[in-house]
Amino acid sequence: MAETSNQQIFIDLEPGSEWRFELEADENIAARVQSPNPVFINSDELPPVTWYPLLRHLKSSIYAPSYAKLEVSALPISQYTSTSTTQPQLVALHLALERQRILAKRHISGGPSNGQGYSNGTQPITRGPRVMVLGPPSSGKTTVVKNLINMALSSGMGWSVGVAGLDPASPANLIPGSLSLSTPSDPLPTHHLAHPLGSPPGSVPSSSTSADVSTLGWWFGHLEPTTRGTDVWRKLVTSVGEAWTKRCDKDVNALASGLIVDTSSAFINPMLGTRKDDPKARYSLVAQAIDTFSIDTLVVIGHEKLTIDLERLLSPRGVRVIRFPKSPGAVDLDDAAREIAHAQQVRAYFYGEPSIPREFEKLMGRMTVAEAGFSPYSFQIGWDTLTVLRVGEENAAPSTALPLGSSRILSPTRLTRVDPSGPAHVTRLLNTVLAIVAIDKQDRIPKIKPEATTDNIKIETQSTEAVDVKIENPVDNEDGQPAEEGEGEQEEEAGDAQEQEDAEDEDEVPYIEEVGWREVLGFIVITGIDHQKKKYTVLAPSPGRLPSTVALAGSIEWVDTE
Amino acid sequence: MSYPGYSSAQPYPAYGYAPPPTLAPAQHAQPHVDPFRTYYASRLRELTFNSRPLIQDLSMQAMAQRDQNNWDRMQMVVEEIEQAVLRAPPQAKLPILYLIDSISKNIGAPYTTHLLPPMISRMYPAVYREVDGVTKSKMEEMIGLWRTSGPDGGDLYGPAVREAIERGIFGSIGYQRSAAPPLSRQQVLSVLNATLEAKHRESAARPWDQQARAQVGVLVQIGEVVNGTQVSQAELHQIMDQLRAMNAGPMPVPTPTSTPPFNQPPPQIRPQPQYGQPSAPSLPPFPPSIPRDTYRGPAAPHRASSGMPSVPTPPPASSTPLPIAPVPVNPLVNLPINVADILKNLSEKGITSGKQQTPEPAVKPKTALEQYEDMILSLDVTLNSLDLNAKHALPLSHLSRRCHQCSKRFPEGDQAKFDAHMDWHYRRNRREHETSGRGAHRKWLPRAEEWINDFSVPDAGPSKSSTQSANSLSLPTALTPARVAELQLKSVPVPQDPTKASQPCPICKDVFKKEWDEVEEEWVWRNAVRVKNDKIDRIFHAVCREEQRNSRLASRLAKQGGRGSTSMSPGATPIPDFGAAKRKAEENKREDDSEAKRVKVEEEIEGAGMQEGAEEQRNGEGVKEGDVPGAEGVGAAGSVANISDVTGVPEVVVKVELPEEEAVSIPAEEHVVLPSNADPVDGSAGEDQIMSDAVAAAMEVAS
Repeated sequence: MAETSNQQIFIDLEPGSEWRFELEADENIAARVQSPNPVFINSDELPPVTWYPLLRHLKSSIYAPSYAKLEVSALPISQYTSTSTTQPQLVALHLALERQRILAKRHISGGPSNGQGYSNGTQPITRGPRVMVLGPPSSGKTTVVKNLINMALSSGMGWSVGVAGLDPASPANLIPGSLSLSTPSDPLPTHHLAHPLGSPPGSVPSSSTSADVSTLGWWFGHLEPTTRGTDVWRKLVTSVGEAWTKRCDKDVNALASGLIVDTSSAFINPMLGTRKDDPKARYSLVAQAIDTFSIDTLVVIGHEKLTIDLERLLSPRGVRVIRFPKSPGAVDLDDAAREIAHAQQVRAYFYGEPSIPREFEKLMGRMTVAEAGFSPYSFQIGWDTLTVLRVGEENAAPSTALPLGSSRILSPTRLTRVDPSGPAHVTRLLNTVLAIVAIDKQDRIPKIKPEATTDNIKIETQSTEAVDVKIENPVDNEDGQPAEEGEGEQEEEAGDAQEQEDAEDEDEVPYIEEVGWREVLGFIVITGIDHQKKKYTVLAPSPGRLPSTVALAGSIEWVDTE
Repeated sequence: MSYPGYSSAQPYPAYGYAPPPTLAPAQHAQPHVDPFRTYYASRLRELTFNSRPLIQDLSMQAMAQRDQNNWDRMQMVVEEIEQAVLRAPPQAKLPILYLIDSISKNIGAPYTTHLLPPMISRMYPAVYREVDGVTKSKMEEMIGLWRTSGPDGGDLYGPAVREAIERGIFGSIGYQRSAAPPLSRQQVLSVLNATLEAKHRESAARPWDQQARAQVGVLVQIGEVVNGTQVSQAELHQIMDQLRAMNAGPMPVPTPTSTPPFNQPPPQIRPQPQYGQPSAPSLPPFPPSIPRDTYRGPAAPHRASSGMPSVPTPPPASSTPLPIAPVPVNPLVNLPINVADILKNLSEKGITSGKQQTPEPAVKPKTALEQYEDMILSLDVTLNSLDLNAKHALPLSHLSRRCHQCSKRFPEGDQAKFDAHMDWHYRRNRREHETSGRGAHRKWLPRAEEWINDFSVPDAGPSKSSTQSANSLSLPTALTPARVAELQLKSVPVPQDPTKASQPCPICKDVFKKEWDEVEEEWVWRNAVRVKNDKIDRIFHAVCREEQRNSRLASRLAKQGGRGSTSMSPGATPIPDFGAAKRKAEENKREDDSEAKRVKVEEEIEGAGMQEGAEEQRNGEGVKEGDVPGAEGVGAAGSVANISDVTGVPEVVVKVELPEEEAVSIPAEEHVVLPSNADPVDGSAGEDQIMSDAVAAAMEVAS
């Protein structure tokens, strides 16, 4: 009756339709299902009659395979329902992938394959599907990946599908500039922009299924692979691939569950990665990724020429190329929207998931369990203590700076130490996001020096003992309470040994190049540089010592605007 | 309250008796009165006008019961509503009907499927006859809306209920009520539905089984026929016979009540076949034994065997002399559908044989997941020949159980997994409750080797093990989970002094959370210990305190031991690391084993402990207490003792000598202080026990 519900806002969804919404910066809404049939957001089923927060800037859609009634706390300005959805196609794709997973599982366990384990009547299916999703910017690559993952994880089969995020501009689990490899175990909800495929664990077990996703991270440091940066990129991808291969060697469930790779939209550029030494090469980074991950299925979103090109290129290798329609609901993102998304992603890494807005408190009824926010830590660390490196050729000194007559023979992946005392526009360190990379003993390049013995000792201390840093002040989410301990004593404790040693050489990077594409331990942001005291102020996710004092810089910057 | 219990006893005779406007309260008072029922009843009594907030509130409460899956209370809601409707004066009945409407539309199942239908089909017509014309038309309007406000756009309560109501209101009565029960449409439908469901399952389990699929198809067709057209008794009988034959086991034939048989009668309502048969006061009494027999018995086969198209059966009530409005049942009345053909079809599909239930004798029943696997494979959707435009539904039917908190689904029969998941929710909710605002932080990412080797079968929830190894830094302050849990149970009464009560924990600077202790019947701070002596009287988080103490010990040991573990850093400020609790207990053990521990350590206290060191030097002169980091129970138990309560009582300072003489002095608050009668002054029962044990053990050692 109208009288009983004139203040409630309902959205009726026809069977097979989806409700699309684009939330503005000040729009936080909550939706709940008021009908018995399942309703999905990115193929994750909405809990029944429970408010489900949809937070600002989110652009997504809620899909109802059968008739459904949604109640929303407020109607977004930009919203509509549509029956043109790609969900049925996603389901079809999922069923095909699921079939391969089941066959692989049966093959691995030696169980009955019913004679169906032979795809072409010849080849037994021995492992789960390895899918790579390609497409232009804003075509919904990550959304397709998320849907496929969610459908696989909600099948009840306990799959452990790998997610390789090879799109630094739209990071799956971490922050912009990163690559990641993760194995979510539960369907991933969609509440906000950040980490669409789940976030890495915090110190407290999460209360929702979107967090606590076991994640490995790598640092590319830029939003897109470029031809110049190809060398580092290739090594990073190889490193991700190795980790996945090793995992599959040990984890048969992962092997059977397969892998889904999200890629950078730069991949659709055929000339990307084409170098002078092989000018005819096309899609060389795509090919490299396919080889690295042993991709068997390539899903190309809405790009006909790309599909045909890649079919021609890859069919001989036995890779299926599936052209997948672009969702009519996909929204073209402008640069401003991307910047907002990037800022939110970095913020969510440090501060955890956005909390449930106050205005939802007045809603009656049950609310989806929210994550508790995180408190990052801010402290000062000496220039000499934290070694900031850049990876790659472009960061080397210009060749005109070389001594006359000498030519440069440099590795394209060489490490360069950033000198913080230089001019700010050169060092570009303020507000820069750094990735902390672990250093093993053997990473040190031993220097031949007269006092070799002492040097060896130093190597040992350096490698085994991370420099400890006192926290100055846990930065609180709400109120930054004043530091309780004085600042003065910070670096007195910061390992005298290193200081002496670091003073010895300024430019020489004492680490092997592999450090540049090793998995990273996390990210920090330089929020301040004190040239007098020669200190950085950094924001770190965890309290206590940094796990390593070697950090990689890139071109990713972040300023907390909230 | 005046309506403590509910009785569904027919408050008025079945026939020809107008119910009094207000009904006598229930006669069968139930001994136990649920406070919720009382509350709900009283709120309902306020609903005498069309008050939207009130209706919303009452709906919300009904929903809350549904969310908690509290069937008893959902039943109460329905019962109280019925009572309220019946007792309300005619002009005040409509708001309560709106409430029913609101509950049905906003909450839906199980109210619409199980709880409301039996009540509504008997109540609605009764109310209809009492109210005035305006209300009548409103009620008619409401029924009209119910036709399409169901979840799938169909009937809100299912067609059977609506028909029953419509019959009641518009007059086609007496359909089912004859001396010997003829088959009602609902009966047939319910059996049909049950059969259909069974066949569905069967066909889902064996998707390759064309026959099962065909059977489902035919059954659906029959359902449409029975639902959508007027089917003669004979045909109903015939269908019923076929259905019975199909079901190997005897199908329980529902009793012919006006209650739709597929809606289980709620337990508290005694089945009353006559109940609710509308008897319009304005109409002459309906003779109880209308000759329905004409449609049964020998006549039935005759009609069926004729194989003629379904002739709309004249509404049975038309044989009565009553002035009856035509039944606006459905638009399909005159569709010529040949039931006999369908039945023939049925037999051809081998449905009626009743023997082909299990064409392939299953060796062992397959689990839902195995059936799912078979189903997926049988779909034969392959990547090589993928038709993206083929219509598929995301298969969920094998996961029939659904977590109501997060919508995760589980296969039927996998109780263990479901329980584990619910436990996970419980733990997380509790944990969140406890640790909210406690400086949680993002952990550092794992090294590749750890990640590769760290996999566990995902079961109950998001990865748990990953969090353990994600942090390769091992502070020596690790507490075992058991110890943390123990510490978190510790409590201190909230101080009376407002200044004190507002002070945060000196270590983590977080404020305490107040909690009502039901045993002690007072407000307490959980996870708290009070440290009191001459110089300091502060309350700490028990976990913070313990971790700080451990880390102090460890760093001291490391310093003095000369070569501590490489993971320890001499100058490290002990930072309460709540993630540490999750780390393996082995780390503790390793520390314990380290040689450094043998060094006897002088107590020197820094940081938040402040003056305690000096305090102890003076206070505990010559007395040494032994404690091992991680030795549980002994030290911490005493820390709750509220010294102020026992002023003047001689202190017993416990001395514990460890066999290996691993004496490590512990901070001052670890003195176990007892009144002379050895009666612990504070703490819960469990702590009493621990404390007494500790004291006893200590005494033993000391003597």
